[in-house]
Amino acid sequence: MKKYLISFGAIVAILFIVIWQYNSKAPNVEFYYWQQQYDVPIKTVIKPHYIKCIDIGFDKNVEFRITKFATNPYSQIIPVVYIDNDAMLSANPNELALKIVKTLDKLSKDNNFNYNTIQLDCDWTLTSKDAYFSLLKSIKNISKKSTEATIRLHQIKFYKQTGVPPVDRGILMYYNMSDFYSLETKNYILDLDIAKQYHYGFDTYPLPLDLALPLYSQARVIRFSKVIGAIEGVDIKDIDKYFKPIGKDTYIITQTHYFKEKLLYKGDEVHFDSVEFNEIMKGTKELSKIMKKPKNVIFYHFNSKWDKKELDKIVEIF
Amino acid sequence: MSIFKKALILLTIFTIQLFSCAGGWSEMYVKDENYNFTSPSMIGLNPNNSLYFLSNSYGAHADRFEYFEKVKKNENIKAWQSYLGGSVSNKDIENIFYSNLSVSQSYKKYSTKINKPQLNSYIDFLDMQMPFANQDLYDSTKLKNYATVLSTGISLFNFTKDKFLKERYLFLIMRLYHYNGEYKKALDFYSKNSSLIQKGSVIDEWTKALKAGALQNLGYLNEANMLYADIFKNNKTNAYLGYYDFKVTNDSQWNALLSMTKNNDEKAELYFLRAMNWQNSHLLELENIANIAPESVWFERLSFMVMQDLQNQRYSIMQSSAGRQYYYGSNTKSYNEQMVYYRKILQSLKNPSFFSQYALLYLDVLSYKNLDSSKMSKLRSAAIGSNLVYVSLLEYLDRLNKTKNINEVDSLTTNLKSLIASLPKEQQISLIRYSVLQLSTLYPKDSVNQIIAREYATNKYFGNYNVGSLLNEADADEFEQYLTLKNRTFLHKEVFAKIMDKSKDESFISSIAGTLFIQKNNFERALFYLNRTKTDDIAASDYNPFNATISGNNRTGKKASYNQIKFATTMLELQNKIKTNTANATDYYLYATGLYNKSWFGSFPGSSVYTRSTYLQVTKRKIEDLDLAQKYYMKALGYAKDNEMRAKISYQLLKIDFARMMLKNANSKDQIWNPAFDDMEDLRKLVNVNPSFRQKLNDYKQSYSNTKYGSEAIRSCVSFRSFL
Repeated sequence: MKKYLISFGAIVAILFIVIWQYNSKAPNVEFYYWQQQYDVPIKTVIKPHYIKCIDIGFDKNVEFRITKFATNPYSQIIPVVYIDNDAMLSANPNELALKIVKTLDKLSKDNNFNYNTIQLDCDWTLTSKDAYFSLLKSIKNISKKSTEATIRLHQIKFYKQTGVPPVDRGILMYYNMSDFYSLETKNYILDLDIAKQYHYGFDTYPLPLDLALPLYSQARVIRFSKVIGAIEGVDIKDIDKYFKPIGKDTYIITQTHYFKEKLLYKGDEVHFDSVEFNEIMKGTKELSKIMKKPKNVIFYHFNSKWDKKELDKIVEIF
Repeated sequence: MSIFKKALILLTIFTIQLFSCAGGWSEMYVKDENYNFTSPSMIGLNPNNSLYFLSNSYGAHADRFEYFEKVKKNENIKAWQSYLGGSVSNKDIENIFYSNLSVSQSYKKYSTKINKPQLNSYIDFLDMQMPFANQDLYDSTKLKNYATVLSTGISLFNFTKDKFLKERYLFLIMRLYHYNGEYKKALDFYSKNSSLIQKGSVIDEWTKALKAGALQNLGYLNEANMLYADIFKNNKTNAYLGYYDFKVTNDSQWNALLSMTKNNDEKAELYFLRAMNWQNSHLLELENIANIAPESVWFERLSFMVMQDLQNQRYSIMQSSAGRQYYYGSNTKSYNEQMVYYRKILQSLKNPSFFSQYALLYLDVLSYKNLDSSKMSKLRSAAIGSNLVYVSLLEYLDRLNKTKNINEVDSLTTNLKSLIASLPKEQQISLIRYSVLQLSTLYPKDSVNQIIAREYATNKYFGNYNVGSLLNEADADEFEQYLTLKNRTFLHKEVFAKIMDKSKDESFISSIAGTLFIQKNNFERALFYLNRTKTDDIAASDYNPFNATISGNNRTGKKASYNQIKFATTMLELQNKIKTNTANATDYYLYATGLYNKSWFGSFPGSSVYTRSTYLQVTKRKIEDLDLAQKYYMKALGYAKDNEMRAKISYQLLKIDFARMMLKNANSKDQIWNPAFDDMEDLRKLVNVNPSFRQKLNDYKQSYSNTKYGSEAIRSCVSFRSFL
């Protein structure tokens, strides 16, 4: 009897330790890969698991762009499908679902990877909701895989109006919460003052959530008082002699010239959006008070400059 | 930019905005039509050539691509026709090469007629290499039999003595190399054999494009770009590739490219091609061209494109201002800045062309500025051929802008008729709609004339439903005047003809008039028109509009079909009794009930409006209807001796109080959003801030709980249960 009691006690203790370890384990550090061509060298130690495989855009018609794989990724990845909201409004959800699943199957065979989950990224609106949710259901039915969808902050705060996508898991995109085209936007990538306004609804939100955080910078170009686009992957350190400062993170171009392969004209204004490590730490700390610990924290995006220690510090907040 | 320049620009923008109040953004918005009084013929271009007609946006490429696909097809068919010597028709050639079947299958039907045995191998090879020509660029799977296909092609090329087919084989082989990424081989093959290609032929154009692509892929960027510039300038079937694949990514490349040019005209073309990149600024490139070659075709063409883009922007602003969209304000600022900048460029020209002069004056007209007569004379002197009509058009638009009185419109009519005859069809319609739109700003706001004119001008799908619902609360007498007007002007006739045309006969118009007269409680006049209305156009209710039940909208109880004629007839009888002081309590009660039921709140709102919105918008009519119904219920109450009757009348008065409470809330600054019997929480809030309504419920209960009607109302009406 005593022997049995001791054995039972030991099992309980081991179980307790395992559960405690699991709960105190920090979320996994993951990356999005978002280029149209995947060419991460095979010998790279840390590679991205979340790879955008299909980019569905819209310009008069639905455009279906498939990522080209120059090298093989991890043997197990989570393919991501990005869908422009206008494309969602124009496409037939069932036909699109079939095309997506077929394409992913072929891609996986041609490039030696497997997947058990498909992630969809679409900033749906009330108008496209029904079509998008129908697409998600169809993808799940046809592929028999688990599905995930990216969720924006406003889609959590107002989830009763915006709806909850019919997927197994959500990925909270904790960036791009401002208006890209507004001249008043201080930082399009991460503005914690704006983010705070959306820190509601997490306690009742019905989907388990992972977290996506920004790890990139860009420069928004303003011409004739209008934001006309952005140059990705640049920050203030990249500026040349034709950038004259006129405000916080804002410059005026003094001579027409090419900058990072884009043409900037004399008189253009360039506003740099970037994310400091401290800002992400601050934002993540605030989130950790209202959000359950995510399984994964996915950083957008892999090709940005990053420091593993800093990323570990961020995820350890949870 | 100097402070002086900035101040000048700001002043100009302010001035433009000041003068644009004559036709505000949303006022001048025309749905589904971007009126545009410029023409590619002004700069010597074919109106169908979409290369220059569309603005510089990423989306414009698809339209251009589609246009050139058609040109390519037509030119290819021509070339085949020339080779086949008329043995088959153009349609037959199209069937061979452009059907859904494989070429060899389509060709079988015609091979005997064509009778060229050497063509058989070509056709077979065409099918053989087709999968490579259609290979998805993102598909990394290599098709297995490439080597076989290539060697077959080369053999056929070497063997054939037929010049036409040899050229074609040359192109197909070069394309095979290209799609397989063997760019050097493609170039070598081309260099070795280019003397076989007939200059100016479709093959010449297609192989040039492949050469440019190969050069680019091999890193000979400037050579590729110069060849693309040549393709853009000279090719007929694939000129669009000249701008689409023209790529410059750094200053040294750009400067090296400029140094390869022989003169300013060639430089100007390079600036033009740079402008065609949708991410670059065509306006700022226009300035660059103005500085070196202001009289070149590149300046003219880019200027034309800038004008199209400005008009597209203008249209988008109007669209978003009409829809009250967020970006309207910031887009207006940007548009105005660009317009000022464009004007500045045009004004700097020493020898402005017809189009440059026209553009400046046209911008003035769009901004409601008076045209300078000396500039107009100069424009007229510069105009030749079809451009003369556009000078007259500007003069007409100027006069139209200056017209401040409806009566002055007549004098414009002669000008308009002759103008229309000389313009292309689309611009004819545009001009009439634009004229009617201007006209609509001269009529009193919300008048029948203004409503119909504006609807005609702004809605391409002008029709019964639109007009009917827009006239929902128009004045009946005013509408009758509109219908019976004699001596209409040309424009008035156009609009009137459209509304009559859409209705096919007078029935629709009569139904509108009849309905509006019911709304105005002129039942005699209403009957005059309803008796001219077809039965299908007469509104009917499933409920007797003289029944008042406990339900708020009286749509309960036994169903009975009641149409507008029957309703108006009964109301007229009651009205006459009231006028002649022969009405009793019941008459007043029935009349009041008819008034209530014809209102938005009752069982037969369709009797007095064309469309009844489910949303409660506060309008004068709604308040009038309730006031009148209340007035006659009070009269009925005054005459009623029987307490049951009094209970019935007083209950109807309670319903009016409830409706008034809802109206007041709908118009309130602190509006409670969703007070309704299916969402009691908000309704309770509303009653809480309207204690007088609760008091009236109490008063009713005290006064009439001892009556049969009263006790039934108290028992079954939710208001008594929920608010007391």
